Amino acid sequence: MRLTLIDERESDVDATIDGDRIVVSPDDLERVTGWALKPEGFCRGEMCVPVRGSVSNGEGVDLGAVASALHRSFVSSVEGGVAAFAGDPMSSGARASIDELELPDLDGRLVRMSDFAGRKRLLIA
Amino acid sequence: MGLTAVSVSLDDSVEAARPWVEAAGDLSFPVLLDANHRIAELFGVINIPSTVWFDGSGAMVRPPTIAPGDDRWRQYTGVDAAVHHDALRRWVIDDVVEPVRGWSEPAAVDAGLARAHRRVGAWLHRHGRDDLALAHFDEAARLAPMDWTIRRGSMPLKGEDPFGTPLFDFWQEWEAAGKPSYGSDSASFPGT
Repeated sequence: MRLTLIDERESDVDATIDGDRIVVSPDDLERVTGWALKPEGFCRGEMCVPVRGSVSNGEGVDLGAVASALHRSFVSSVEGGVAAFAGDPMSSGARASIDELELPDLDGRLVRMSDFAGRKRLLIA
Repeated sequence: MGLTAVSVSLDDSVEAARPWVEAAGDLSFPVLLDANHRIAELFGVINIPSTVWFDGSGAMVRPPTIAPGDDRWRQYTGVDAAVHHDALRRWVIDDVVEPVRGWSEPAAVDAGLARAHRRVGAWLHRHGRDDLALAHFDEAARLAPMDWTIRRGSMPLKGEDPFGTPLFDFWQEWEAAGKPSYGSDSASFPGT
């Protein structure tokens, strides 16, 4: 089935529903979350997170198991065709850099905060 | 070093954000849309209006702070806009970061799971599935009851007025809990 997967980005992916499991391709997972499945675990840039147990069944990765491995939360509505990851890095004391943030303006143009690196940045919400 | 300001809307859609941006007239800074509330996850921005300060390396130097642009809501917020503006100038010009007053930690909640429910609920609402969305909003509110982006942010999606009775009911609940998660530049906050 087609499923909209939401994390850093939001994208439609092909998903297989297998009981409680929602399975997608590693390529789609990386496109939405930025995490790539490699022999050493899930990797993003130079950082890798080892994976215990199986997140891959040969046909794809189980999104619930991915969330556990990455210490993120995962909620889905198979009936509604949508699933989302989210996290709470603040609770672990980890504070993100604003350079990680990229968001669209009201005309849909993506603005990367790293384009303003070196300057003080004031985020107004 | 210079300063770059960006405004981030936590509205659910461009359509919801645009009237406010147009009413503000010519803005000298970009306005971005964060329908999935990334800034809540990354920086703990769970209320508006607020500001977060970052240095040139991208590191947060001041956590989310209640920072109204003017004194329109002074009687509710207890925050003088001018005090915040002075603190902002001292940071930009003199590199002095004033401590935030009145900061209190929120009760331990599963904020990640609450945000994931809110993301699913908001997407379902945008796609005409309010029949499925409501349970996700309710679960998000149960998991993170003092999170404004979840509680107040869900009001328009649930057909409630975010400037009406539901807001004031929530305000009282939040006030009774000691106004958790947010500080300000005003000595009178939280409290009087």
